[in-house]
Amino acid sequence: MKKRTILICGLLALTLASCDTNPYDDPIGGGGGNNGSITDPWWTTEGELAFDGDGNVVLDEVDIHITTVVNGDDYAKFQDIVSDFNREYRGQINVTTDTVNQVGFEQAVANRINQNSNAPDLIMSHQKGHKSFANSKLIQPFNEIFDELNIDFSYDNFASNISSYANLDYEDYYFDVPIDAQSMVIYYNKDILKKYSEDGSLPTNREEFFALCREAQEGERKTNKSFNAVALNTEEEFFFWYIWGTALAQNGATFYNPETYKVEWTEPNNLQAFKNALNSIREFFYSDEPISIYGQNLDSTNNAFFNDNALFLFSLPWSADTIFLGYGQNHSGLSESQIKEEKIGAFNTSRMFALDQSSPNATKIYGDSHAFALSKTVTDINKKAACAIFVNYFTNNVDVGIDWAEAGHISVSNAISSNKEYQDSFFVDNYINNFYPNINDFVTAGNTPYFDVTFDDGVYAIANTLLREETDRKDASTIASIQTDVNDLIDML
Amino acid sequence: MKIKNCLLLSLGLLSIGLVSCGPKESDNPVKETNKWSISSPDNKVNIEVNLNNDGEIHYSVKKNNTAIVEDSKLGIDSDVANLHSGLTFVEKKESTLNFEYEAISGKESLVKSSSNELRLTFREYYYYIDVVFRAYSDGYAFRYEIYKNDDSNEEIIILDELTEFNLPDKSATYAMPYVSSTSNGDTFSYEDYYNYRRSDRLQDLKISMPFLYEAGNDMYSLITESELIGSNYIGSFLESDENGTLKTIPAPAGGSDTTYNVPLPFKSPWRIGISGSLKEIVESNLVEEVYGDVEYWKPDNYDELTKEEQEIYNYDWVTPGVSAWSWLVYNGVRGQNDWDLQYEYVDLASEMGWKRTILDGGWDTALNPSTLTEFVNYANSKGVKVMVWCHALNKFDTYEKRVSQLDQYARFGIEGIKVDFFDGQEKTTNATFQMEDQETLELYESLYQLCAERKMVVNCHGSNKPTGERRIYPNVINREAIRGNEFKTINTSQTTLLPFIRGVVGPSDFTPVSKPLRSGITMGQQIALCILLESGSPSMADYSENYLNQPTTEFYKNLPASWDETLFIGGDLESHCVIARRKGSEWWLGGNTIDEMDININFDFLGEGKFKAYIYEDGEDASSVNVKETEITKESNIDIKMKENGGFAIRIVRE
Amino acid sequence: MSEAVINRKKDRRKEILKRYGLAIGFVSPFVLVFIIFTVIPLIMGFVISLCKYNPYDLESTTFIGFSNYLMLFGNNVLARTFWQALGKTLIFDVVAVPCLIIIPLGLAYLINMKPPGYKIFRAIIYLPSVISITIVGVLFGAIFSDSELGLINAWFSSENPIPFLSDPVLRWTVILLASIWWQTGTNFIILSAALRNVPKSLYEACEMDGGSRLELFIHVTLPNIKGSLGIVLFNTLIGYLNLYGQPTVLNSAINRNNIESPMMLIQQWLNSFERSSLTGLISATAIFFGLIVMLFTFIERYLMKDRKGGSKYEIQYKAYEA
Repeated sequence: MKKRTILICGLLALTLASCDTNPYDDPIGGGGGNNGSITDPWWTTEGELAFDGDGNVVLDEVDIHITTVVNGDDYAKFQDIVSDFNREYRGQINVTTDTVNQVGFEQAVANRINQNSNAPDLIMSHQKGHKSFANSKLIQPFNEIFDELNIDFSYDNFASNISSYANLDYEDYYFDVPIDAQSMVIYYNKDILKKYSEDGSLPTNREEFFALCREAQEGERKTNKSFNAVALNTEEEFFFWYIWGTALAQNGATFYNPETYKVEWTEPNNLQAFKNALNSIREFFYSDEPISIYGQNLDSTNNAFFNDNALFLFSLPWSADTIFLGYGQNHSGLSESQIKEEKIGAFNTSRMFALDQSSPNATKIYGDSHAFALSKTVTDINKKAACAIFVNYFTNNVDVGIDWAEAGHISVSNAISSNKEYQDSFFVDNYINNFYPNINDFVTAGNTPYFDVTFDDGVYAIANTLLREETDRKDASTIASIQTDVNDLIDML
Repeated sequence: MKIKNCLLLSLGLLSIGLVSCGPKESDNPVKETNKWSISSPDNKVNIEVNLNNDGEIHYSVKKNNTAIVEDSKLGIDSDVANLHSGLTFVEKKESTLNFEYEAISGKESLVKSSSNELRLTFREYYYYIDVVFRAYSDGYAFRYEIYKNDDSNEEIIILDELTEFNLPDKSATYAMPYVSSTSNGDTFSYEDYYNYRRSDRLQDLKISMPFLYEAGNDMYSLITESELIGSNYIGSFLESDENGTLKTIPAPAGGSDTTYNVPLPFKSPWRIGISGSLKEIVESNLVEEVYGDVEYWKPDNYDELTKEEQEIYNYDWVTPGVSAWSWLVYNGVRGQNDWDLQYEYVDLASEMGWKRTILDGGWDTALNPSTLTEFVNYANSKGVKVMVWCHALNKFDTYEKRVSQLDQYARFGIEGIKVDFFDGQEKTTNATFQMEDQETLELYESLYQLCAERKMVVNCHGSNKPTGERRIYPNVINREAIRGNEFKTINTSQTTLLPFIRGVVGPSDFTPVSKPLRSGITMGQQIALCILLESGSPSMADYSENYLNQPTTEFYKNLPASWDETLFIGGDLESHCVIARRKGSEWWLGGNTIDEMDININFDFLGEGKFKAYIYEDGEDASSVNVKETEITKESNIDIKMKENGGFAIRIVRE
Repeated sequence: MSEAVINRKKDRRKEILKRYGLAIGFVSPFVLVFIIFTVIPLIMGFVISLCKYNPYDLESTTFIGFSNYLMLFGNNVLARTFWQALGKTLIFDVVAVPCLIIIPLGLAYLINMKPPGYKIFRAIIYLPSVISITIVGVLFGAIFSDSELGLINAWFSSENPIPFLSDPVLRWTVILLASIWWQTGTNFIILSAALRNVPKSLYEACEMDGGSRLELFIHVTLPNIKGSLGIVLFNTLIGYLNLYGQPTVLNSAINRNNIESPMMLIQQWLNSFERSSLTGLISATAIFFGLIVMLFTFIERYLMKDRKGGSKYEIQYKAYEA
């Protein structure tokens, strides 16, 4: 009897304590962390730096470890750059690296830093995930160490759109050092283009693009029934991230409210922008004269392009080598330089999806940006110095910029991008500059601490659901429903 | 009675007190009678050994008065005796070994060996431990021999090997630490990266062999082990303390067996330090030379065999030669059981004059025996032998399976096996062994022997590093244990290290291509790698059209797979490397570089007379080469341009 | 306490040790592991479910009682997603669970007739159960791949390959087929053994009474294998309420964030760094879901157990006897 009474009283107490039916309801829009100012830094610094007579820091065999999100061919390029750095700084700094897949990167690295177990010293990953790192106090700014080393650092030295997010909304703090930008790009078949375009010139807007594609289809299908003007892989996340993101940006859509971080997709202008973006992509697949097939995967699209069954291939900049190689295997007798100079050209998605070509948004390209961030686990000032030196090397060395461009990544550092040698290098001149005609038109997700919720569960989910629909009948209701879920979740976080 | 006991106790205590009153033995220096030394025949390498007052064996090595190994311990801990401390010296024996041997494949066809040997015998109770040292002009070697006073064959358990290598302070080292090659479980097959670390930064790493470090100015040492197969022991790695003293540890990622029972008499593998300049390191044959003046392996019942059967063990049937290999470029596109593809590669091999074609993983999926018979017959009719891929732990985990499977291959006329995944990947049987544990080493030995009996050659993949087995099993003509083209991300910072480390110790199956698979290594370098890394059966891994009717066709047609002589021409770690190899009267040079480089080649190694040099140099882009011909003599020198991540090759033919 | 009482207690302890000591010794390793890896995490999970908890910000942990549980009944994204996912799972289970009882039962019944080569058939039926769900995913993924390289799409060589893993209806069909192929063997073995234990005399008696094959099955076979059927139903029900493996491995990359079962919801939210502040809420969801599973199994056990007084035939027979 006594035990039963105690149990019932306990349960009652618990029930009373839980009067709040929604303890996660936060009128501001979620716990975003200490926005704007840092009164209680969560990082520490130990030790002292040694300097030589010329004021250069002297480091003795400092080991630093970088965890990066790049993998595949561009990880190999990254390792090449690291090897070069190690040779140049032999005896002073030794860099080792490892890679973690972008799916689950933030979770995996956050755990490692939080538990200080196998924690990296430097993180090199998509800037979109760094806001939540900062809010969770997992990274620290570079300010102090840049000052110690007299490194003249300023966000003015980087492409404006990208660097505007780099302080992660902490005024005057250098949390991120931006590196590069990447989005979906276009490769085209020069021989086929010459047949249907005067002087082999590329279309300058959407209307010309569709006209060219339809003309090419009509012409090529006389002898090749398998020909589709555009080979576009819709079965990987890059389609949703970059194509859909670009379509939204070009039609003036707003991803989220930068004050509250909540999404406002059903606001009339924004809803129209979303619909326009959807319809602009639908025309590729479902119009009276579609120029592509929805549901093609990487292998099908690549094979179509390699076998001259497509004029344009929408792909990724770091796949250039694979594309050249694949094309070469299907056209024996061609050297690599012949393929690059005479057979495959580079184009971009600027104006491709804008239904209003006169809009200032029409030239925007949406994508990702890599950035370096310094883990809070780095406390030794010598390690911080080594990290700062590596970061400075990577974002100022022209040879690094050229190597990194060959891996498909355009540098956002003015020191590199404005350098003549960089501009004159073959891949930058013929490919990178054509992939991204104006780096200041490049936009990213910005500084929301709710990137996964807003984009993965929200923006991209809209496209995943609605782009399978041939009409816009369900657009408004689906967008409204997903918006409700996203805002609910943001309220809870 | 009580008084008597008290008196006895007091006497005992007094004795102990008197004994310990005298001078402490450990305060006294090592007795002169417990110091020994041995030098190489040219006196360049000097090994000093001593037995200290605690009965511990210590050694150190110098070359040209530069310390290679500073004072380091030796010994073995076992369940029956502490063979590392409290030892008593018994006797020493010195001898000289001078001999020469022929190698069917490798850096040199006729190897002349000269060394001085010091054998020191120590004892603990009934157990003896001999430490056998050898001093060569290009390094040192030592091993342990354990036996009992009554020469019995009892088994002992080796608990720990206490071999140390105390490196000079803050040496620059190039190490490949253990990192599992799979995300779940432990597998390692020596296919990771060599990276620079200072010797005091090696803690917390398990370091594989071969391991290279810089001992001084133009003085390097490459530590590895030899005669591992047949030792009944396990493969070893190295572990460091905070001061850079390395100690041997069992190779990680072994199977479930973690105790090492060895029958007496036991001979450990040789611990070797190839020491000297980079030239001496690259040209050294020490890993195979250390076997001594031995013959090729013969079975125990050799004397009972017929004359015909005995002739098998001359190994005349082992024919080094280039192999055609389709897996790398067709992986994921066409299966190895695509017989059109395989016939295409037989035709390629035949037209190029290559010896073999390789059927890789998946070749026996849905196999029709008559298809295989037809294929092998076709290949043989074209003068091409067939090598097939098989999984070490799935196909050969028991002796019965080995015999049965190899007999079956032999019946089909298959001439060799490419046996893979000794590291345990993709294992589907209950085999509990892998990597370099005892049972896996027995598996290696068993396969070498069974293949020799059937006149089959062996290429080991997913395997451990070479440990000189080619010396007595010349049919083991190729080996992976290298980060090669299979990893399309292989870069020049590795390929300019490999000739100085991995390429030194035995055959390397890098699998060069002709046209590069990615930016990062030019075509010129891919060609050069055929020479920079030697193998008894180099696998040419590109599309057939990249070999046929190309400017480089003659190069690949005439490429040797065994060498009479090897010379290091020049280079530096992580910079560039140029090696020349001779086959008959032809010389072949290969060079690679990280940074763009103009290099001048001097041909003073040529004999008298005139020669024609065919030069393959980096072309205007990464996937082309310029081919030039020129006449040269030994007085000539040529300027070669190497592009960034580039290379060159030269074939020199006597006119 | 008097000395006599203390002595008696000591004696009793000795007696207990003497009698049960060995058993305790054998059981203790399991008990230890069970406590460390099951009981303690369960208690910790329950405690966390009563809090607002963020593993990356432990200082902000706040006790909120049952609020997290109440969230599951509110109008919020978690509740909507959870109940939607539960609904999808239940719909799938309504189809899958009977299939996974009837098909193995049918096969067991046929095998029990011992046709020629029945041992081989038995082995073939059981074999798929020994492989892991990942392999099942690889196999069925390759057969039903959306791309033209998938086995079925390649066979038809159509320019527009069938989106087996992208189309919702087709995908659930593939999941059902994979589940049946994979797990028929386990239930088959249990039911096969149960069928063999049905006394032949009962069959003979029924035949003598003029029973048809169907009546034999309904009135003799089913009642006698009721216990095994109950076990099979119990296991299958729990397994398929906890559906996670099949929808995860049989999925196209772009749909990997879709949530189709409560277990997927729990896993995805737990593995999301951004949702770390909702760890307490997710724990509550997991515990609540566990209670739902327990409820289903209680219902199942109640329906399957013998009535007090027995079945209606037993009652009729007793009346007849009387």
